[in-house]
Amino acid sequence: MATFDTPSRRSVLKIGGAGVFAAAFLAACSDDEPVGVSGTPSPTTDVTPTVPTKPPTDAQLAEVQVQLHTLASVEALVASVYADRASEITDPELAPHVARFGADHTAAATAVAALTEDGATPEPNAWLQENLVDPAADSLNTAANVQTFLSNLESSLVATYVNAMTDILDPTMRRTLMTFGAAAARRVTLLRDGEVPEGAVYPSADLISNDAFLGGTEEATGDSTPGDAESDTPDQADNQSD
Amino acid sequence: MPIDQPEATAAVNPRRTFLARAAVGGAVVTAGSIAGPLLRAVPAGAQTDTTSGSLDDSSFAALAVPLELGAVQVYEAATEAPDMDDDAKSTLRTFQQHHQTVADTLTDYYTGDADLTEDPAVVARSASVGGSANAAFTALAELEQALAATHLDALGSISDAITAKYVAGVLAVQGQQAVALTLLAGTDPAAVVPAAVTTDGALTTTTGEAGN
Repeated sequence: MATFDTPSRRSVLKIGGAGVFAAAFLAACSDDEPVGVSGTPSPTTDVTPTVPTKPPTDAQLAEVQVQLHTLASVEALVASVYADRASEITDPELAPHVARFGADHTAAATAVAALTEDGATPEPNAWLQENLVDPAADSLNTAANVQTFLSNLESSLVATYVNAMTDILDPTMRRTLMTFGAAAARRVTLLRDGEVPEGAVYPSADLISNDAFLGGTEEATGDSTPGDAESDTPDQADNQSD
Repeated sequence: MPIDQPEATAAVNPRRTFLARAAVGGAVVTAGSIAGPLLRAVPAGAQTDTTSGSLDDSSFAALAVPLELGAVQVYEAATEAPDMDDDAKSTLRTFQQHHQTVADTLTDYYTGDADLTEDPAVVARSASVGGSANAAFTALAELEQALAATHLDALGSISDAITAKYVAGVLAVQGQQAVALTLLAGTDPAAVVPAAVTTDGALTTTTGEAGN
């Protein structure tokens, strides 16, 4: 019958010690290359590889133009409302500022239009004129009502600028647009007599309807985009009736 | 077209959003190396047009969180002004909470190892807000304008569109707070209601990884 020698504790330790010695010996014989790597070591670098920027699609580029044309048209609309109504603000502390706001919006409309590919002169947004400004005419019979209406228009403009940030591809263009959007936000607070903002981020509740967005150059005069009405949400429609 | 609600997205689950973007984009660069160009305070019009910014979410957080946390401290000091009435204190508490909210949200964007703490230069403004309510309103209005300018400056470098929208919403509100504070101070608001806001007075952080 075959017998097997059971290794003693001492013999196990001797074998282990020999292994450690052998590893240390081999390591000492090698150069500085990493142990256990065969072939050419992969290059190391502390710099994260640059991921190529994905070129924008035609649809994305077209959406940029939609946003720019729309913003310019809303600016032009607000400018026209100020031209018609600013003189009705009689508060002596507020009136001098309001008298200037129309020109501010005209300048903004021109500046935003200059960012578009065609540089077309912006016309007041026709959809908002027809569905927001014209229906409100009868109710604008007091200075307070006019002031509230102007502040709501400014707020819609702010929300539209902020919303555009996700469609505008160029960060520097985003910044340029927000120089006007943030100015409109400040006018909201002034027109609302220093009303305290409720949240840390400007709310999107006053965003204009999808129907007010201009589909392209041919619609820069304000025709609504075919099919957009289907994508309009009840919330957005409600916002316009406020 | 308006199809998303980014402020909700950014506020509710910013870390998951960031990780998803990081997985797609594949590029996470250290804050120090990225914050440099921003902190050189290049004028807005001097930058070359690009289709992608150089400032990732974490790097922006490293810049902005210390400033926002510093603002929280300044507001705390302002409420101690001896003639500050309860209504005004309530307004200041609201604005203070807004800055804390922004700091909390942006902290979730941060992936670095350094602790993001209050910027000492901003906290130092506390010295000018405790004397009287009017002094506090004026100093806080200046701080709000500086913070809004800082966010506007950063907006021109932020690479992620959703983050850009969040920052745009924040800087709009901070500008509103500057107006409200100016009106509380009883001073002419003309200077805080310009035709177009600028990056003048934008801050640079003096703490954290983005320090210069």
